[in-house]
Amino acid sequence: MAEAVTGAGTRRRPGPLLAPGGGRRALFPAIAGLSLVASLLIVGAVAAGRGAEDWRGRLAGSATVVVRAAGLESPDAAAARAAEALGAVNGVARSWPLEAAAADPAIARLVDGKPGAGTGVRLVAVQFKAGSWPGPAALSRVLAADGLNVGVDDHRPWTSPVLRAAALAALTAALLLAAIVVGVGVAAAWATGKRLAAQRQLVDLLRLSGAADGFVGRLFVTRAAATAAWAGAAGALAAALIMATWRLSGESAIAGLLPSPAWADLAADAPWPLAAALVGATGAWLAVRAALKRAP
Amino acid sequence: MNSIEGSDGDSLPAALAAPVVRFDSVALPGGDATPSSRRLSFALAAGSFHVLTGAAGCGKTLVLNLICMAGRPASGRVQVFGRDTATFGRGDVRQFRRRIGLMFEADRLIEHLNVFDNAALVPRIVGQKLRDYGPRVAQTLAWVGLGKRMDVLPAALSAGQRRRLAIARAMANGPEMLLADEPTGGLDGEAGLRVLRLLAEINGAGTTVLMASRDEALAAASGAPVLHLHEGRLTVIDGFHPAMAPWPRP
Repeated sequence: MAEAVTGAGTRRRPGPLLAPGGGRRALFPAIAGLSLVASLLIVGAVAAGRGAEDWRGRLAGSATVVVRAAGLESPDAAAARAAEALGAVNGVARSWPLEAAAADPAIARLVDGKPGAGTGVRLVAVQFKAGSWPGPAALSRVLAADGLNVGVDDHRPWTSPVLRAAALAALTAALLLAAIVVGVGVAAAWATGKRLAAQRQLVDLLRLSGAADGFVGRLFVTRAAATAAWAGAAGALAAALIMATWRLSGESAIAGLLPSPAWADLAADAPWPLAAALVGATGAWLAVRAALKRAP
Repeated sequence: MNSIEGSDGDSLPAALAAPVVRFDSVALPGGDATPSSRRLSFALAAGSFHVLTGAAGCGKTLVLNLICMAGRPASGRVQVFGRDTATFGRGDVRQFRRRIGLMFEADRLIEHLNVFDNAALVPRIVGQKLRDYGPRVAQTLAWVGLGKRMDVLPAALSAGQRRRLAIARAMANGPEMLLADEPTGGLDGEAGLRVLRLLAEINGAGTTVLMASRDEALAAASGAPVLHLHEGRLTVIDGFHPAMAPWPRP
C-alpha cells in the first residue's frame, strides 16, 4: 500500500489555517476609513499645537502701538516718528509702521468701522528682543516724551486664550481619537465574531484535535491585527497625501485659519498602523475569548 | 487483541484491567430520563479494535463525542485513559484529546490547504516544527497511498483518497486511540475495504480503534467485535472474519 515519499525534505512553510479573505473584506475599508480620520486628526492636532506655540511666541514678543496724529503732522509722519523713537528703546529689536493693507482692518475696529486713511490713526508694530519686554508704560513714556499721542496694545494677554484654544483643540482631537480607537476595536471584534461563526467547523476541528484556546485565538487575532495594520497604513497614507496636497497647494481658506502642516507633522501618523494593529488585536482577542468560553 | 466486555445494564461483568475507555451506566446526552436498563456500560481494552454499529440516529456519534470529550453524558461516568472525564479541566481535555486521533463522518478537511498541510494539522497544533514532523507526515501520507499527491488540494482527491487523507491526519501524531465515524460511508466496496485495511494496520501497530458504522455487513466483514446500539441498548457481538485476520502489520 505504501508508495514513494516525494518532497518530504523540501516542504515550504505551512499554509495558513484560516482561509484568506472572509471578514477582511468588510473590516479593511471600515478600519481604513477610521484611520484616515484619525490620521487627519493627529496631523491636525500636531500642526495646531505647533501653530499655537508659534502664536504664543509671536504675541509674547510683540506689541502694537496705536498712533494718533496731532496738530499739523500727518498720520504717516507721526507713525514714522513713533517707529523711530521705539527703535531706540532698550529691549526693542525692531519697530515699523504697518502697511495700510495690514493695518486697516484693525483700525476699522478701533474707529467706527472706518479705514485708516481718513481717521488719522496709524499702527506701528514693535518686535522685542528675546526675553526682553520693556512694558507698555515704558513705551508710552518714551513716545509721550516725543509729543506723540499713542496707545500701546500689549499682546501678552492674548497668549492665554490662544493656548487655551490650542489645548481645547488638542482635547477635542484626543476625544475624537479615543472614539475612533474604540471604533477600530469594535469593528475588529465584530468582524472576528463573524469570522469565528463562519469558521465554526475549523474551530471545532482544531479544538477536538487538541488545540489550546490560545492557539485557536492567535489565528483570529493575528489575522485581525494584520488587517488592521494594513488598513491603518492605507488610512494614514491617504491622510498624508491629503495633507501634502494641502501644503503644496499653498494657503487656502482653511489654511488661513489653521496653520499649514509642516512636512515633519506628517511623521506623527507613522505609529498609527501599529496602534491600529494593537487595537484590532485587542478587539479580536476579546471576541475570541468570549466565543471560546462558550464552546464545550 | 480484540478485548471487549460490555453490557446494556448497570453492571460491568468483568472489568478490564486498564481499559482505554470505560462507560459506567452512561445515559447519552439529551436522554436525562433514560431508564437504567438502557444506560451504556462497556470497556475497551488498550490495543483493541471494535466496531460500533446501529441505525442512523441511534447515538453512535454521541458515544464517540463522549469519548473525545465533545459532550457530557446526561448521567453516568465516562473514563478515558483511566480518568473520569467529569474531573477534567480545560487543560486536561486538551492533553487527552491529543492522545486520540479523530476521523469525522464528514471528512472536515481544510479545503484551502494542500494534502500535506491537512495531514500535518495535529503536529502543528501541538507546536512541532516542520523539520520535525515533515518526514513523519510524508511517510504517513505515503503509507495511505497519497505520497505523490501531497501538493494538491483536497478538492482534487476522490472520495476514497479524501478518507485516506483523513486517516493520515488522524494518525500523523501517533495517537493511542483512533475514533473513526463512518470511515467507509459513501465509498464503494474496494475503497471501503482499503480504508478498513488501513484501520486494521493501525490497530496492528498497537493503536486502539473504535469505528462507528451503520454498514453492518462491513462490520461483520471486519472480523472485529461489534458493539451494536439499538434503542439505547448495547449488544456485544464478538466476531472473526478469516479475510481480515491476522491483521496486516505495517
